[in-house]
Amino acid sequence: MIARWGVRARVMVAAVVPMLALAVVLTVFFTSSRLADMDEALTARGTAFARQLAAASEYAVFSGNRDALQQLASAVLAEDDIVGVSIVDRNGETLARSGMLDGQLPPLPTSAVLEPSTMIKGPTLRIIEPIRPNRLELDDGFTAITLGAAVHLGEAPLGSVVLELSLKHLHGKRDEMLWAGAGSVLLVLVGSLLLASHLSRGVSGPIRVVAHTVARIGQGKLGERVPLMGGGSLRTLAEGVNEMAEKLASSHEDLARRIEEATAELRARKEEAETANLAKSRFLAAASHDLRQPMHALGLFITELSQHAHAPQSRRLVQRIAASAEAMENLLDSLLDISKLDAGVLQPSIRPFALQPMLLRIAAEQRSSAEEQGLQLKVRTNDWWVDSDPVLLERIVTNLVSNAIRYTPTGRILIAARKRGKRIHVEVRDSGIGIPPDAQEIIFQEFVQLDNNERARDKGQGLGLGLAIVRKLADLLGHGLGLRSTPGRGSVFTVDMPMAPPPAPTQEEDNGRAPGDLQDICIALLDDDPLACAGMEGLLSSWGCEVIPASTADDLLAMLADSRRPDMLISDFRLHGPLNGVDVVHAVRKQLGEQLPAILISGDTGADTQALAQEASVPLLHKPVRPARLRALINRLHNPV
Amino acid sequence: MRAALRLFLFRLAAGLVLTVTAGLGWAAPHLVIITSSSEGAYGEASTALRSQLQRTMPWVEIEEQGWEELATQRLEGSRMIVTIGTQAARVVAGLAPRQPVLHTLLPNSAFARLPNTPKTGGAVSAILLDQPAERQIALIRLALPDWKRIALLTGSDSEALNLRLAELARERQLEVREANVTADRDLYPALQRVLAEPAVLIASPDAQVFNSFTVQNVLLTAYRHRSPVVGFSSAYVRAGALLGLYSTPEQIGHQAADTVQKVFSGEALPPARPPRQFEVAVNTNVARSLGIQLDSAERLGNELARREGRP
Repeated sequence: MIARWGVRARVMVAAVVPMLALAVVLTVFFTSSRLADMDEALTARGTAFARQLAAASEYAVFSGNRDALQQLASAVLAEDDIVGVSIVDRNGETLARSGMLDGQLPPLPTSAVLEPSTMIKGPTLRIIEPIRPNRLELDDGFTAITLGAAVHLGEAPLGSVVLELSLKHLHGKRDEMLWAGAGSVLLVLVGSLLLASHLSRGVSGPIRVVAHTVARIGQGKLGERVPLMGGGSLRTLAEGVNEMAEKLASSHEDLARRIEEATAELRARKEEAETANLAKSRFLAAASHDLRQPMHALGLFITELSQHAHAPQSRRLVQRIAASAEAMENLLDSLLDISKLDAGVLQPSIRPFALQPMLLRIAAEQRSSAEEQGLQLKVRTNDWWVDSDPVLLERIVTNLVSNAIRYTPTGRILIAARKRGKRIHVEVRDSGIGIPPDAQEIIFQEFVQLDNNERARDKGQGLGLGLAIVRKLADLLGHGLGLRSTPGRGSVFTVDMPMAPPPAPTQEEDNGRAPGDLQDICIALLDDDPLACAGMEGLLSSWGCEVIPASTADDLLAMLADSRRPDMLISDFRLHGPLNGVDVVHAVRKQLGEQLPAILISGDTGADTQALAQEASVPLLHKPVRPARLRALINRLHNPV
Repeated sequence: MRAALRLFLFRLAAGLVLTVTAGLGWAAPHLVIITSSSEGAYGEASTALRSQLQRTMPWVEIEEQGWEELATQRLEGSRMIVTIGTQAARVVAGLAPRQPVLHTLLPNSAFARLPNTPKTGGAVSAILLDQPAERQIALIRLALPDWKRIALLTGSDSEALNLRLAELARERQLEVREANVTADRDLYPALQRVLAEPAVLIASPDAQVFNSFTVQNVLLTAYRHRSPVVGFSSAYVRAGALLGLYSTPEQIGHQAADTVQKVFSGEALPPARPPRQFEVAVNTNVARSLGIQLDSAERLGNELARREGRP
């Protein structure tokens, strides 16, 4: 229990217990010794009275003088504390009595007592003193000489004096002393408690100051210090605590500084990484833009070239050139897509649409390349509608299918849509080389290609961005992406999306013009790059369009003023001069009416461009523009549903 | 001159006899003194006896022995034995030696109680402490001629003495009041009775009645009854007796030396007798208190001695 006591309690106990013990011992000792003294004094007084009375009453007892004895007894009774006197003769007969003898004491002896005796019972002290005849030395020789004679006459006691003293006074004194003793012990106790309390405050005060300071330091106030006071252990303690606090503070500062440094370094690294990423994006954007311009023109020229009549030799060459250009465009598209996804500017527009036409279209697009490798491409689907972005989903499935074709040497590829409750799973299943389990995650990273990298790239089949784009698009759309694969047995990629109810059947669109017929559409074309402008003009003209080409906005506006009103405006986004494509669209629309369809073409894949085009509700095509896509867009804008 | 010559011749003859007897093996001392104690009264008596014998009979060898280590062999060859005190007397009487024995410094009552001497034993005599009744009565008549009444307290040891005293008193026309005391409680009534009228109380050396424990109360009672007391020692007089009649140990020692001398000179051992010499003491304070005119102790003693026929 003591082990849990505080400093103050210990000091109190240490101060109070010895003092209390001393007080008790001294009080008991002195009280008992004083009581014994008083007792002794009373007994001595009583004995003296009894002896005096015995001496004084000797002759009266000898002569049987009761009156004299009575007088003596009465005189003795007048003394303090004496309550009863009795003088008895040698036969026990009472000769004189004064006062009251205590009835509780045993009866008086019936024969003369030989020795004085005292007895205490209850509140009474009884003293019995024999009355002896006074011995007178006769010096006559006879007494000693007659030795052996019978007992001398008169040698026996004549009688005895019985004196009774009341102890009430003594007891009263004793009680008084006991109370006084108890009172003094109490006073000492109170005094020592006060003193101990005062002392303990002196002892525990500094310790409490230290304790409070330590508690505050514990709460984080490292600047707290214990004031130095006292000496010895207290001082050592205070100094130790202060030293500890200082070390704590310095280590705290050190730690904080290190964290700061680490954070700063982290931030720097992050900024570095961000900068690098930005640089990468910028590089990609710039690269794709700068590549797009010639690719765009190249594509336009090849398309135009292929529409001319050629010798069979030349035609095959043109076809090869077209294929190579398309592969290059695909690569550029992939780069463009991934940079767009990284930039986070792609906003999916999710709406219900029919899945079947899309899958069939993809299969139709990919079938030629599949058949080139001797693969069988099949589609199994149903008339389901899904909630997704059709453009992005088509990109996902296209990528998956082209990926499957690339990694399937023989066998077949199946594009299948399956209903799973209220969701649709679109599967791309192949009988290809398969993906080992430990590689099933990394294949979704950028620029990762299994199989022989060199060979794959040599084939001009891609940069390893296809599945990375798939993953990023699926995440963007919120679609689940699954993969089941066994090496050597093939792979199954699954895209999981919500099912949508089919809309009420609508009237088949028909505006008299066959789809894809662009004959006689007048298109105003603005491109400051003469090569690209010439290519685009050639392409549009080959489709039967009438083209009003211009290399600057001012030229265009001037030309539009005195020419046929165009049906559509196609403008490059980035132009020399203060205006960009959107400004030109606004200017032309201002002149020709707000309903004029317009298409922006840009080699710039930056987010700003995209955002500006979206803001102006003008479709944006990135260079190199696929002639098919351009044609489809023109067709759609010219014949809106 | 002739006497001196005779003494010289006697001494010479005695010296020759002594030399002869010594040569024959009579080396034992002539006198053996057995004392009860070597101190106090016994010592004084012994000193007086020896000093007188050495002065008068220097050829007599004296050996002193305590009674405790006494044996019959030690007494062999001695001419005479003197005891001092009751204790010594009792031991020697028990041994019953063949030599003549003189007991001294013992009361009559003690002497009477000694064991009887067998026929083979030597002669036995004594010098008693008790003053003769005649002397006591004579002192009373001499010192207190106006007092015609005496009081006597009789215990078992004082019957004979008191009888004698009463007889003598009556002869001298004195009234005698007597009472017997056999127990403690008898003392005060006996005193009351004998002192109903003032009388001269004669204390007897009877320890049954008069002893150191009773004497104060006796003296007080007597005083209250305006009665003088005649004691038998100087201590009585100091304690409050009017007169004292007693013999000192020295006086008894001298008397014993005289007896020894007579025996050594061939006389027979005299019978037991009271002391020859005595002293009288007077307490003048008591006399004054009682209103009694008294002569001085010396004159009373001298007069008493003169009446007994001695200088």
